[in-house]
Amino acid sequence: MGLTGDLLARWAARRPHPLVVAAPGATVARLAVEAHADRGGWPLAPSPADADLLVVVGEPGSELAAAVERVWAQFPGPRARARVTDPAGAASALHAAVARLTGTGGEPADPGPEAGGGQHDGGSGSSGHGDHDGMSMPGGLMMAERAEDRDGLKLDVLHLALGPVLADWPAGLVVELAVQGDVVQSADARVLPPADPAAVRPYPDVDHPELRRRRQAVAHLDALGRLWAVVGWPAGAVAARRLRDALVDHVPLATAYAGFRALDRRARRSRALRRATDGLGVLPEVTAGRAGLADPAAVCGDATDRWRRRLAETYRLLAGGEPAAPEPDAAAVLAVAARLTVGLDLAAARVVLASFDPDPDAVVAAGVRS
Amino acid sequence: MTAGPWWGVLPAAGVLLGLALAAAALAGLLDPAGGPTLAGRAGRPVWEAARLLRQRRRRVVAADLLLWRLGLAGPLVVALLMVVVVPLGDRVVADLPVGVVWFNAMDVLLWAAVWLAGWGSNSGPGLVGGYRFLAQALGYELPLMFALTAPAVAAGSLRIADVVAAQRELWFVGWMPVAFLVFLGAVLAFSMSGPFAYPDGRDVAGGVLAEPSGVDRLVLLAGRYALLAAGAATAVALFLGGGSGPLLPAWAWSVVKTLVVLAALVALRGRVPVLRADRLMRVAWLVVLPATLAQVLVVAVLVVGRG
Repeated sequence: MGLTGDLLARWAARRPHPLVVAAPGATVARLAVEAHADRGGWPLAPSPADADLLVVVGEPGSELAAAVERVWAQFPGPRARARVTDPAGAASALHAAVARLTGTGGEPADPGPEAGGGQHDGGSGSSGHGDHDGMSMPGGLMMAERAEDRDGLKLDVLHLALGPVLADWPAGLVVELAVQGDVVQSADARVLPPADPAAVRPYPDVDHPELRRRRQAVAHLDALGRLWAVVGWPAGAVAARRLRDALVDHVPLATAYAGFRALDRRARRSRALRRATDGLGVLPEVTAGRAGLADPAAVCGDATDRWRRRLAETYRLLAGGEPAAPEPDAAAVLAVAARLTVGLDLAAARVVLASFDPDPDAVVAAGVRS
Repeated sequence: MTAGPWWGVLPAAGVLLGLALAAAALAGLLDPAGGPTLAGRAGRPVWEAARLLRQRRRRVVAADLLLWRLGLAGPLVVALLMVVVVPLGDRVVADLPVGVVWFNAMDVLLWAAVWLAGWGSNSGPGLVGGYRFLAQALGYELPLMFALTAPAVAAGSLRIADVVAAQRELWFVGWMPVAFLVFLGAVLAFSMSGPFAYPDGRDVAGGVLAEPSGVDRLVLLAGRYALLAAGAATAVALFLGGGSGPLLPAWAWSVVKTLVVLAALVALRGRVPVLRADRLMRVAWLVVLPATLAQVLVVAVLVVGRG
């Protein structure tokens, strides 16, 4: 690499874009990675096309690992990958990866898949092309099939998987959609388990009540950050995540409380935010009860009700309120959330899923118990 | 007003790229998720450009390379075609008698460009992003057209130089504030920024930005900032008196005013949640469009009354 190349590499390394893929059960490590990226001003990439670093957090199971490899093959390069399994090692793993990316670590940078500029399967890890075997078609891909839709039209059906590698998305979650146009016709949700599902404990599930209170508040802010990022309110998402990271860093609850008050006011007063979430994913309390939810009142209403409830709950926890009982029915919440996306367009479907924000760690833990 | 020779387009392109760079640097400075140091934030366009120049272009299975790349280059080309009719002080590259219509026609070209950028990549998120732009255009285009009508009616001419000249006594923003605000909103919309960052939303893995990498991505991102800059420059000519002002030469006033408008537009990005197309439609057709029509009516009545 010449002088210009070295300069470009140095400048490029000022702001690398990591794509973070977390396995369920690795929330602590994921939070450390996201906090480190935020401190450096590194934006989290929404797709492999935008990414230089692949950060795999936790121990993915076989299916998730296969998805990670597919996404890795879609990186344009130069690229580098890092594995983070414990929060203490996050910073050093990321810095080693950046050094590999620039080629300053002694070894040359990984130029990317098939150095001749090979072809990638499209879809940035979030879309599938359905069945590849069968009739031979342009590019080896199948054409879409047609089916009746709700308006009595015969439209192409596209099978699209949201996740498991997607920005602002719960770890390991996959929602398989059939869409016509961009309207969801059916949705099936599941969580891809980590290598050792039996070891997974939900993040707030700790014995010490003080720590549990703090972690419940962190989990709520984490969910709010995801929702507001999905809604397209970056300022709100950043504020919620900064507060979350401060809480993880053991900032006194009173300090966090003061910061939270400002964010709370800003969110509640924003009419634009209301306009983005009002009337989406309405879940009547009766339906919630029938779906087997232990606490229907906690998730009923529309998306706005749900994020307001989250704000209120965070407020209560930070003000020193007792930590809530552990959420027993994450799997049921996930099923309800997926069902409510049917009939919505993709944007609205993502808002609805993010407003429920089912905890994949709890889904995996419940699956092990049963 | 003097129209320059054909090579006048080169300095115009230079000014446009300079403005786009300034906008990107300011966006870095104001980004709530920006880096720890001020220099690190302001230098963002440099780090990003270096990163993307170093990055390789991606190819996607069965992508329509020709149309994809045409679409990706579209915004930058359209922005340049917009500014050739906008005077900088008292100089303009092409003094078209239908400059206002030209600006509008270029903006409509974007519909094809952005849709192709999404469709050509042969990926679900890209296609959704491309269609999102069309849906958004359905909301902002008519208000924009009528907002452009107001200054043209007041000046009695479609030539942008005449519109600037007609503002010698009172800037048009003074008596057509609604048209001015609608125009600025439309600039945000066609440059896919702020509340209109819907075609490249994170919720669809970046939409039209989901697949391009390297130089392809750089050209599209630069095009978005160039569109923002071109829109700001046009707003100055149509509503803020162009190059008129005391002390400084006319071209300097044009640049200063454009920078102020550009800064205001950039400052708005990221602060407001994205307005999804389904929600935009109600606001655009039931509130903004009637308000713009009322504005045009007021302007027309005033012009007739003045004789």
